[in-house]
Amino acid sequence: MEVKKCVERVFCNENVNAILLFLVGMAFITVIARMADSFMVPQVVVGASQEMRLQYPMEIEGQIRAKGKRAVYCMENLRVAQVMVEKGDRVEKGDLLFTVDKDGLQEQIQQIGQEIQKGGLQMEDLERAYDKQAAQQAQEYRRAKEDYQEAERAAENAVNAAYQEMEKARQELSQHDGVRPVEDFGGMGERILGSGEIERGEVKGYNIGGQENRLEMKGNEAGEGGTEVDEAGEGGTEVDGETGVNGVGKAGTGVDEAGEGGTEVDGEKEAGEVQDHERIEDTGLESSLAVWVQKREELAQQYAEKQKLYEDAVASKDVSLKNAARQLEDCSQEISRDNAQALLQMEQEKLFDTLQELEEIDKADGKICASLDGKVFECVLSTGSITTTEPALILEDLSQPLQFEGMISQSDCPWVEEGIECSLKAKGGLAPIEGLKISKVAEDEEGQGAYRVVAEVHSDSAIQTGEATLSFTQESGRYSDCIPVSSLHTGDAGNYIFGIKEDITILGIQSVAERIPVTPIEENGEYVAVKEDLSAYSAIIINASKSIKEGDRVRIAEE
Amino acid sequence: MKRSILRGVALGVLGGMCILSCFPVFLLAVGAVASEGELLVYFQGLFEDGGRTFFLLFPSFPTGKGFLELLLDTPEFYVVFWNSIKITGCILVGQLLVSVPAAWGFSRWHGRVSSVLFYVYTVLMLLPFQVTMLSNYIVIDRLGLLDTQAAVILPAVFSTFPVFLAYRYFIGIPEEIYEAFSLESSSKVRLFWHIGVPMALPGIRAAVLLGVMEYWNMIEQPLLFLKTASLWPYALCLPEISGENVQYIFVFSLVVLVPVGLVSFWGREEIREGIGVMVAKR
Repeated sequence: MEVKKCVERVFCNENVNAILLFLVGMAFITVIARMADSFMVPQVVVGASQEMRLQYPMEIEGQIRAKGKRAVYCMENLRVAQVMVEKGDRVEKGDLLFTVDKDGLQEQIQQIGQEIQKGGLQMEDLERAYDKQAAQQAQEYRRAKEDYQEAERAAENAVNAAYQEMEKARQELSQHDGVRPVEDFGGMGERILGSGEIERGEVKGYNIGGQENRLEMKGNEAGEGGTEVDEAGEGGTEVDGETGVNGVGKAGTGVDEAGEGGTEVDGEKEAGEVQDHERIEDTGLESSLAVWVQKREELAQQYAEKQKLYEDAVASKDVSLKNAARQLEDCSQEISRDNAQALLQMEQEKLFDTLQELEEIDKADGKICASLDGKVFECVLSTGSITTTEPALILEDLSQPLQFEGMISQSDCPWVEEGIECSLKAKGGLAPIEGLKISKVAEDEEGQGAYRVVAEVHSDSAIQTGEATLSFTQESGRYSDCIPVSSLHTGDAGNYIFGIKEDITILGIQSVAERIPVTPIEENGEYVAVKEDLSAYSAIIINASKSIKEGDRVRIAEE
Repeated sequence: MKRSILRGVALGVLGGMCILSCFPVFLLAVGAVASEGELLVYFQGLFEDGGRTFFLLFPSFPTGKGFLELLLDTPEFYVVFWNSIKITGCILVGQLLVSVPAAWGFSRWHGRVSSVLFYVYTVLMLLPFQVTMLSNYIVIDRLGLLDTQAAVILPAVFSTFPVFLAYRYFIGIPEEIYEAFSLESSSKVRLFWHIGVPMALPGIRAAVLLGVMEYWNMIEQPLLFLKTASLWPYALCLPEISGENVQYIFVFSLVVLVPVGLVSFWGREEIREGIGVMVAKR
């Protein structure tokens, strides 16, 4: 009771109430302040340095694909009626890929059939044309041969006739020369025989005006004639073409010597031929002699003409024979076949093959099925599109082993190489496949600073094609002090970390951040190895809820 | 006329002296709401050579930022504040429990021994702390109380001044009152509790209030006996005054002044009566 009175007395006093109120207020603010301080004090996660090897885990995103791909072709110019698959679909052998329009197919078959027929007809035409040409050529050959033979005959005849005429004219001339009038001469005359001898003899009457102008010679003094002839040749008159009279000369050669204007008689005028040349002494029979000479000139002219004709005939024969021979030669050349038929044949074969393929498609009701187990890698077809020579579909051949293909930047992973062990995890939650190895590392063909990494998948693994992630790790040497990267800071004075030290403050023993300079050696993105010995520091600040500096109070977050 | 003038002059002088004596408190209040920049300007002469020092009656840009920083951002303040509350409260309670009965004993025990002891007690009261510091340190160290708040509290609990002050009040109680009470009860404890304490209450209050003012500002004993910062009272936590923390010090000082100010305001009558009665009884 007395205590109660005492307490009442105390707390009824206003001044006491004021002091108590102040103290209560201070207590309240104390709580508020400590709560605020607990929010303000950075919370930190601490750890210790570890002895470890730095690991460089890498992941490469890519695709699991079949090693081989097969293209599915279809006849071109067929309209696609329906496409049953799309990119990424798995198909088995015999699965329907797409169907083509049957009407269009029929049309194509018909069209090709017609083309084949047309081709056949064309080939027949070609054959016929060739046969015709061959027959024509045979006929022409025959005709040419006949023409040749005829020309030969005709020419031969012409030549013979001309020769005969010429011979006749020669004989006439020679006969005329044989009857040269020589009177009171003593009848001595001389004539040069063909052998060159000079035959001297008595010359009996010469009828110049008559036709018979014969000179008979009596006696024959010869032997010296050759030279005399030559001598006479000097004094005598040589017959040249202009005079038409063979003068003195060697047999056969006189004509040759006179050949400037005359014609040579080939082979027919032998040197032994006698050209009688009689000297007609001027005994006063000038009128008969003149007649004889005139006649002789005429005969000589005639002979020359005949000779010319003969020569012409011979030349003409040569020409005609030559022409005929050429024609014959032309006609005897073989008719060469060009390549049109062969090309047509090839065309036909191609059409046959096409037709066969179309008929097969038609037999299958226009359905194009997969010929192997695979996965659609690319599908360029769409309903209503027209097939071309390009592949309609590309299938990944799943009967072959699979492989992983992915790209990684060279800057992210410069040390990747073949033979590194790795694991593969397909998208979709399957357990990763361990024990794989990188089989190939190649620079990107487009030169974009990336590596193309390939790893073969075991054939007995249950993994399927699709997106996947390849994981592998590289380890460094062992370092005695490794700290998390998040604990490393960089400042003007270099790299440093914050350690925890216990400091006695007004608030009691508080954890205070202490700055520790370090020298990083190697870093793998998660941990960094440092040179300094950090074993003396049991707690290193790895993460802080806010920025801290040396001396700041920190609160270690409870795990 | 002369009297009124003289009275006026006296009042003026006294008033001026009062104002002058209260000026530090006013300075403290103004400085607590002034911004740090303004304080640096005002007290430039204190921190820099050749600077000027002056003070305005009211800051140009008053701010409560200092209070927010102290009260919300400085948990150390509350530690030292409550340390001071704890130390002061424990000392006062201890003194009440020890000194008042001791004073009663001195007042009721008549004789030469009592006189000698009281004399020695009075002499001890007059000795400064520095004289007894070493002996105190040795005893506390031997007791294993160093670096504990008991090292500060216990010596203060057995302080002589409250005994002296309460003794003066106990001596002033007439003997007849004791005799009259003894007719009712022979219990000495009841006599002490029902007669002695109520009669000496003003003195006891005065001792408590003076004790608050003395022990709230205690600095030497904590400085000597307390090494751990978390045990310090506020007096040891005021940092060195510099340009960077002048506002903090102003606010700190004002806040720790508040409890003592309230106590002084509350017990001003008791203090005056207690001291006056003590002087009058003499």
